[in-house]
Amino acid sequence: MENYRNYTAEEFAQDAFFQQSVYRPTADSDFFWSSFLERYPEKQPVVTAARTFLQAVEKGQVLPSAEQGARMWQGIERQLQEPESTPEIPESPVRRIGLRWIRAAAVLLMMGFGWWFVTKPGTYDRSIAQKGWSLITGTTLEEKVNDTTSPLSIRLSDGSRVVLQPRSRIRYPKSFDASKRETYLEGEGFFDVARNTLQPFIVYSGKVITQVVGTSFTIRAIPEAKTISVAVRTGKVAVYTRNAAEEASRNRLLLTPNQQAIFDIGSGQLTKRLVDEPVLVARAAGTQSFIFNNAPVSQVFRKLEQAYGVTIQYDSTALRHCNLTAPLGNEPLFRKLDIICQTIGATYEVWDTRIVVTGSGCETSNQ
Amino acid sequence: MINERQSDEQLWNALREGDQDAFSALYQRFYATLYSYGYKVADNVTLVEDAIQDLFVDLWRMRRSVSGAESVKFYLFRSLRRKIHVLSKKEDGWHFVDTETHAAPESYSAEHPLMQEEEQSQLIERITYALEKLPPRQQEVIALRFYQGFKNEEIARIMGITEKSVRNTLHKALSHLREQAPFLAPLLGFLLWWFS
Repeated sequence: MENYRNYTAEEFAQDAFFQQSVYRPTADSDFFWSSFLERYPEKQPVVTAARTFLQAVEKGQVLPSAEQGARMWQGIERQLQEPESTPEIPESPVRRIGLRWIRAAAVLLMMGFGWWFVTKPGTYDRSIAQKGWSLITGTTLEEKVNDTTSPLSIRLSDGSRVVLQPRSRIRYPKSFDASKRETYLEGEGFFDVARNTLQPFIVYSGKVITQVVGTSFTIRAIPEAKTISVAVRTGKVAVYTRNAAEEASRNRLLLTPNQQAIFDIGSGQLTKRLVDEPVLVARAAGTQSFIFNNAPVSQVFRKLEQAYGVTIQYDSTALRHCNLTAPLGNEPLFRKLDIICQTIGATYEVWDTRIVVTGSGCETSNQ
Repeated sequence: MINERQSDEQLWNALREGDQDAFSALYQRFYATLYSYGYKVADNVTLVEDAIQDLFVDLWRMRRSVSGAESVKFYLFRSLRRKIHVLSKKEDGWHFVDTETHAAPESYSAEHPLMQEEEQSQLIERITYALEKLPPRQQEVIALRFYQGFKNEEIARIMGITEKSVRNTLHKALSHLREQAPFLAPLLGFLLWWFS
């Protein structure tokens, strides 16, 4: 990250990783640049300029449709079948290649959401995209429907686990493709995804697409409900809408633990906020002590930020004399904040993903 | 990414040993990007499709004699450009767009100053438009440099020209852009630094 600190826009535009982040963004690259800009906000204009230029260059590219891709491959097959080439090739190889092509086509079509579709929406058949690969390949997906009244736990072939809530349905291939793990959810499910950076895990739920490499999160996509939500328990998650793929400015949200994305079906808006009940983030759980003995609030807030992976904003000058003595324990985050704020005579509000604490301060005698 | 690069080479080596999976994976991985480049070289769908097919047919037939490629992508791009050259000579009534002659681009009206609140997407639209007005050869260099991520030295070898003329072409392209789209000057100023 340090290296990029002194980059000019033109250096960004030429940088291989930067180009890749614009053309083929992943959850990881998105996180890299958003944390880079958080650390060096003064780089925003150059980064934006470089990205804008690259996006314009990308827009000028003409990409083939899936049909063209398939047609060219057929042409290659046909030419390789011609007699003069047979000594080179073992028996009926072309047929076998042909079958592989079908798989290849499926991968390409699904990759569409990653960059192809984004690059050239005009050439992409949306109805096929929505029905998924089963339509293209004839491969039937496994389907699990939970029509019981209790949650159903499902183990996928990659080791990931899905807890499917009642009246929910999930579809997934018996074995995942080498480059992507794709599943389709209707209703509500909690996903605990086995980490594999080379094989992103993607959940399609209505108009919302969620992409991760290894993490856990809950998706709520109840048919007929007004919103679809994705709430993150651990790891990093990228959420975007199907429509976002058509827009030049890609509407993609990056979520960290205890954040959720809410997609409003009516307005098509995707927004980010804290989950209703933040929980301890995984790596901190179990080793937490919230017993404070005359501790400065800055220290208390830092502790809570780390434990719950949230951001707490406050005027550190105004609250510099506020100390806290409180044996806090397992109470939910917002209950802890109630107690703290009462003690130091402050109030808090939740703005998007931030918790903002306001107070007039404490008297020095409080020490 | 490093992993992708390793993978390209692994596929390439597997192809040389006759692995058909690797062959179809290479096609799958590269045909779209090859097509987008081919289209910059020759504005002719049939010709580009034919060239890509020939390229892969040759690749399979000569898989045992192809050398270890230091960059698979570079090898494929250079081969595609040669294929397009060969095919375009065979074709009647069609000309390789490899000339500097180009209709004088109409200037994008400068009467629409870039407004603060203007959508990012509109800005992209305008730059794209300005890029499309560039002579084909300049567009080709821009695509290789900024979209395909090749270095100047690789671009020179792909196009069969000197590095110096790659630099000159890039410089011309960006100056052109600045003239055609004055509103872009603040944005493009930075791109011109590296030649000064």
